Amino acid sequence: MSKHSSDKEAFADLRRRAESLIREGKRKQFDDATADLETLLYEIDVRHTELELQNEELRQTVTALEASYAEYARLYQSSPVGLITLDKKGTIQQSNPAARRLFRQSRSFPESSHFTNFIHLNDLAAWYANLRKQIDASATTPPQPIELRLSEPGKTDVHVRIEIKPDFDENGRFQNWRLAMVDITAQKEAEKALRCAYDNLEAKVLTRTAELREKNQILERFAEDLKKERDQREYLSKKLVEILEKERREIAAALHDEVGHILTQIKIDLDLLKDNINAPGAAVKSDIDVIQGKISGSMDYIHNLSRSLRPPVLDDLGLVSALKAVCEEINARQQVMCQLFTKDVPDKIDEEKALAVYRIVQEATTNCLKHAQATYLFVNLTRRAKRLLLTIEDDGAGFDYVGLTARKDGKRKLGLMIMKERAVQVGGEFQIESQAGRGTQIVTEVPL
Amino acid sequence: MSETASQITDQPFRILIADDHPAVVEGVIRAFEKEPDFKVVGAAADGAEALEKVETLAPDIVILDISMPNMKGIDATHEIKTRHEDVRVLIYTMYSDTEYVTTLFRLGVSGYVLKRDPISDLVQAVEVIANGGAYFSKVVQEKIRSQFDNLTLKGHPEVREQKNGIAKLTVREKEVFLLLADGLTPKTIAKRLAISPKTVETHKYNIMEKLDVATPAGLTKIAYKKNLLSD
Repeated sequence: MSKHSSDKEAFADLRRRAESLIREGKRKQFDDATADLETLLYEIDVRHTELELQNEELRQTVTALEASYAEYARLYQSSPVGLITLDKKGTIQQSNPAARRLFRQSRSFPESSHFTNFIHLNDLAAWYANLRKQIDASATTPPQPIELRLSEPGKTDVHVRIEIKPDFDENGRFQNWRLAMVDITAQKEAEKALRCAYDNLEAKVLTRTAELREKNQILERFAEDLKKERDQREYLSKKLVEILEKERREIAAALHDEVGHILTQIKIDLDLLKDNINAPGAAVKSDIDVIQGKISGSMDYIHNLSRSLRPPVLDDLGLVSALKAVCEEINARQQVMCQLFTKDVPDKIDEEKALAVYRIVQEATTNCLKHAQATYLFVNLTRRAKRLLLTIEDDGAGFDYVGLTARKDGKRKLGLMIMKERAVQVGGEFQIESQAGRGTQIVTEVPL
Repeated sequence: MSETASQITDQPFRILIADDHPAVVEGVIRAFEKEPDFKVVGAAADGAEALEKVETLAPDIVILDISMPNMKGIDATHEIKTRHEDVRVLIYTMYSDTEYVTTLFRLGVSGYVLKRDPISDLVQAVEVIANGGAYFSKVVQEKIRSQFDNLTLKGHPEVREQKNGIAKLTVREKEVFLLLADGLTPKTIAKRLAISPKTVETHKYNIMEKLDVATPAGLTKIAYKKNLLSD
């Protein structure tokens, strides 16, 4: 610059000098035609030299300008930042290769390409809002970058960050928009992947939470079942004590009222007989017959009582025989037809297990006779590997099992509970299924 | 009383009484006291002791109770009859259940008298047996006869059915059988009959046991044979 100004001054000085020289010389020339030709030639020479000097300076300036312009062009063309100039209407006027790469244009943009044609529809509003902001903002405010998607049918979107700056002329009139943009697709992809991973994580957390909730519910149900089971057990043990006491009362009553009564009668009969011993033989014999009849009756009574308390057949002959006896007794009543099927049942079964099976059959068949109005009653006892398989089935009226067990009390409910308890006590399982009109089926498995 | 087997050898008929009730033992001894042809040679309070005394006392007959501690009367009978085939056994008991009667009958007892019968019946039974016969109380005789009827099933309509394994099936088993033979899975059957799959499995097992087949295909075969499947 200093060189420039000094050049300018030097030029002005030169001019001044040249002009003054011309003025003087001209005057001399016109005034004195005979002026020295040599002087005139010299003058011309000087002027010529001056012009050459000037010319040289101009040439130098042009060269400098050309170099500067080339530098600018080089920068513009090779800039990694996409640069675009838009006119007032948004038509693309100028673009550098980096910008064209972003827009996937092999050469320059087609004639009067509109910038907004390349913007993703959903980003247009943001674009216009940003433009407005830039116009309103003072010239000194740094441009606010905006992120947009450049979209083209059939191709993946390119994400760009754009800085927009309006350009004004000396009079402050809007000239055009200058855009600088960089590709942020990779960054966006990474963000998307991250968000995806996050969402996945979120989804996984949700799933896991749901699973946990479900497990929790199962646990709660389990706890509920346990509580129900415990309540039932409490109920059962209370009831069992009651039953025990009731049975004792009944046995005591049976012994006292029935047996005691008859024994007393027999004693009186014998007393009378003793006093009457000298009566005619026939009379004594008939008295004795009466006494014997009473004794036999009493024996039968005790026998039946003891048998109902504990079936001797079970102890003496085993489970199958005991079940045969039960079915035979049922058939003798001619109320239902009872059919027993046994196969591969071992001779020796643990006493407790045999008793459990026997009692379940007893209870189930009793229930059937009492409630089912069945025609057939089937009892199957088979062996499956190391388990005894007992099924009891009737074709009777059936009952509402759920409703019955949901009831708070009831003899029949207790009966079912005791059956189940007997199976459980010996490590077995007990299952009962019944539907109204579809009979009742009991399946019990007892490990051998 | 006149021509008992023992009389031939002029030896009284030797009786061993086995009962865990002393009163019964005493009663039996007294009942035979007046009988010169019979002699109660010993008494046992349980089955094991009875077996022991059979060895040592060599009785001709054992009057045996069923319910005894240590060795049950049935086991004792079995032991006596296996070891000493010629020793007669007479059951003297309160029980007249068919199961007892048939089991003991099969074991080869010579007589069965109920305790509720007059004691003279017991004496008569021993007499009959001593003469080479058999004596069963009336109630017991009926039980044996009905059991034989059951075995032969004369004239019963169920006879033919019983031979056919299908008749052994319960109502529900028949339903399950047909569905199985039709190729349905236990799960489907359970759904259709509104019962649990486990119950169906149990039915299936019992059906195969009753029909003596090893595979579900075997069931189909039987069903076809019986024309039970509508193609």
